Amino acid sequence: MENKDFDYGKIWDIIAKPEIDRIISLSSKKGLQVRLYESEAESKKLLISRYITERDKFKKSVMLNPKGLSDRHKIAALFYVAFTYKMDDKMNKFPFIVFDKNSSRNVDADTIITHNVAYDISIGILESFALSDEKTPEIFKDYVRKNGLGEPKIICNGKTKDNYEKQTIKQLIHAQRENKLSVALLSNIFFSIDNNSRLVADLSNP
Amino acid sequence: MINCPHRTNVIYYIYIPMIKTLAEEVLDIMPRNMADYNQGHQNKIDELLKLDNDDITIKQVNLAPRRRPESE
Repeated sequence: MENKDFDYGKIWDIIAKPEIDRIISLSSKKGLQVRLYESEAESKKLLISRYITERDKFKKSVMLNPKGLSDRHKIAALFYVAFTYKMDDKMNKFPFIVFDKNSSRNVDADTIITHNVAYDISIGILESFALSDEKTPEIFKDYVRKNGLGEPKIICNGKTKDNYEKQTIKQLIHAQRENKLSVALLSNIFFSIDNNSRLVADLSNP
Repeated sequence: MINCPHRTNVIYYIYIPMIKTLAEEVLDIMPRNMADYNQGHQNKIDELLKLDNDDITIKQVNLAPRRRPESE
């Protein structure tokens, strides 16, 4: 659920910023230069304002009472949509700009890194909710503290070695290119990840 | 003033107002029915989405970065 007087800047400071720093550091080890398109303060402001716009738009389109509250999976989904929002469709302007070893632009990497960080932010939000909720079973809280939200197993992998997260992110990038990145469907994905981890935690503690 | 029941006068003063009244009535009824339909439809969607079903608000959440297994 949400509160109007909540400072959404905290999501940037506590959840998004460490993920951004992490991806910049990991990428530099691989010889990629990754930086935010805008200044950090501007990126933070843009994320929050986009989140609020997307949230209000979503509530207005699906709720009888748009002033009502939305649950954790919808909040995670809305942050995903807000973070991956393209500032300029023609320019493919994502929050990140990536240059390869030869200092030339790598547009696909902009997209992949942006979606990866958006996924990390959403999972961070869900884990924070799970650990703060009194109703969360202790078994699951312990599991999350040790492992984070678990990876659903891949059922039919074929020749690819991608895990669930990588495959899901690829599908979400494709959905966005087709203009079909839906908040309702994303929240369903996040619900499934949350639920899968709860089941794994239950099974590992008979 | 209608001085004689000429065909033009009948159309102007009788038929056109009649059609206008009828059209207004139809237009008045239609949006109301559409609104009722939308309202019913929206109720079902809200029920499916169950938007307002969390136990805590984001204000009560102790935010923390994403956790990863130590091996990662």
